[in-house]
Amino acid sequence: MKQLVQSILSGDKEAFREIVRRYAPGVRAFLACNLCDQQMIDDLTQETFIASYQNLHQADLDQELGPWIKGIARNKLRMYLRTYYRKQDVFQSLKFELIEDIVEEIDTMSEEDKEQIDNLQNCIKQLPKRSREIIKARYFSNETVGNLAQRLQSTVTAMSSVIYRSKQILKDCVKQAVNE
Amino acid sequence: MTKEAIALIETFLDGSSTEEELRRIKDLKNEDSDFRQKLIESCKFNGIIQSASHEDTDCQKLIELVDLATGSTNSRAFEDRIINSLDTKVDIKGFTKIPTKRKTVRKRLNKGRQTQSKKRLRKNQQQNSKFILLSGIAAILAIISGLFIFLNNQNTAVIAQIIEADGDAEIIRKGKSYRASNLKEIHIGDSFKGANFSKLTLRYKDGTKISLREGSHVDFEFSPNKGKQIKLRNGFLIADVAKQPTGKAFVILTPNAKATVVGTLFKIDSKLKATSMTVTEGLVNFTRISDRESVDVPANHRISTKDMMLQNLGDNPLKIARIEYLSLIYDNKGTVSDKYKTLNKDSLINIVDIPTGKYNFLIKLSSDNFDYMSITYNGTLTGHEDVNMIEALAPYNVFSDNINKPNRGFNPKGIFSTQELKKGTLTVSITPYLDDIAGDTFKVTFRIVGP
Repeated sequence: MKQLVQSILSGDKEAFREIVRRYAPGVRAFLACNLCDQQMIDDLTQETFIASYQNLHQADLDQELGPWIKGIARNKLRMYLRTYYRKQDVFQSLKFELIEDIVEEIDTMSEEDKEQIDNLQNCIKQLPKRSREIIKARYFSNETVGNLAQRLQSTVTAMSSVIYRSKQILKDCVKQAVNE
Repeated sequence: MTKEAIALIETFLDGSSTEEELRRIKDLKNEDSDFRQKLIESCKFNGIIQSASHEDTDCQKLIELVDLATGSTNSRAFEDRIINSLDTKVDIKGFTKIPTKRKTVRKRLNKGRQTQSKKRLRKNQQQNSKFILLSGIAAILAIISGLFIFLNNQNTAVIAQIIEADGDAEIIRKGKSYRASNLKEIHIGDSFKGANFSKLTLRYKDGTKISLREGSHVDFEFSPNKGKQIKLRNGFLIADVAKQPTGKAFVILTPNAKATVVGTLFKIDSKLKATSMTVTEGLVNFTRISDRESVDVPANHRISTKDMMLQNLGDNPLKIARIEYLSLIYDNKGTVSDKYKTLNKDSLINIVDIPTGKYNFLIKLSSDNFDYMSITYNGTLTGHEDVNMIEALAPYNVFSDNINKPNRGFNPKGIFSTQELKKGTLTVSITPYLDDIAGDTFKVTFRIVGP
């Protein structure tokens, strides 16, 4: 990694693509922990890598690059949250408070997380049919829990439990895949 | 974990929690360490699933966007590759003829320089005057200075007038950020970044009008050879393009598509995943960058880079929705219910009938053809939001739950507001919009009574 960064700093701009490929899934995952708006996640991911590129000379080459990029993503997220929620009402302020608190709690993205992302697709395929369809609708089509409950003639509580259980199965599956 | 706690976490993760639910989450997070841990873990794993389900899994699109934004040598090559490949495919005049023109100009310049030098030499030899030689040098220096000033002015030349700038619209000029409302003009090389509730409308010298909405990120470019060009990196624009000179089509370039137009009315919505375009008048050439597939889009048609299929919007796509009626819904389940009351000037709402205090407005429309609505209410709901909702039969339903939350759309399942209805007289005004054109405002005043 040190060599890669040094080659970018010495003018090999192509090498930065490798940095994006390696760290973008983790950055997206971090931002998606706290934001539901896919468009905003994409925008902030893009801004994170632009800022990383522009400030790469400031990175400590003896340290891992992931946490440094993640720090930039965290700052971008904080700035967005403050700008967006600053002018909003009590409801939004409450949401901001919660999200900001969670942002602080979520530690830097590890290599294990990246592997989990890589293995998740296979694990989704292994889910029972109904769970698989629900997870796909919730995460690939961005349907809300309420919408899903209404569409599948269920309740929000029951649907939440199905999603929660399915995610537990997925979590176990990806952890097992990572260990293997 | 209780089922209630799980439901609280899951609705928080999809962004649909009510204020009451958020308060409950906050309390549980502070009081129950197990809940707190589960919430953090769920948020984290939620991010992992979101990342794994992203369309751009190989990050190729992101790489291209970052390349474009950083303006590296490689990105320039990438951009040139797109433009050149498109030119050969769709034969856009403004680009294909540039190399030939450049050569011709260079030849003429060289010829002119040679002729001038010879003339000057002959003159100097004939007159043999030091004074005239110095005058000649001075004249050349003056010409060079004039040329320098001219070129410098060309770089910062005004290309359009700002006719409207709202909200936190920013113009980035030579690396510095300016509030758009403090500027009067757009210069070559300026960028627009639209923050919340911002909007920018500008008019080019030929009358071409461009309207940009919040969240848009745009670069303005112009060259005598190419004509006008806009790079819509992200966002939404509406363009009313005046007839352009032959060979200088107006080009709008997004990360996914290229629209080439000689004069027409259309709108473009550019997102990371796809770009869509709706043409109201004229004909616009639309090219998907990934495979260079190119389609001429006629009036009243829409197209998207997702499938490149022409969608006919019918004979009258610009018909703005009319609001048929408005109902107050009251339920505590967060789902559509038949517990509603159509509102008119004689309506009386008894607070006793709404024990939870939760309510929502159901708006019934004559058409699903609208972009966003503006709602004012003499309680606390004020603002506008984009709407993207299609139903099969009129009158069409719209739930207005997310006022003050831009770009989220009306949530068709209806998340009920937790604001309490207070005794008194309330007025709700709703205005539907389509392409910035306001429809008829629907206004209803009703009374709320109670103990």
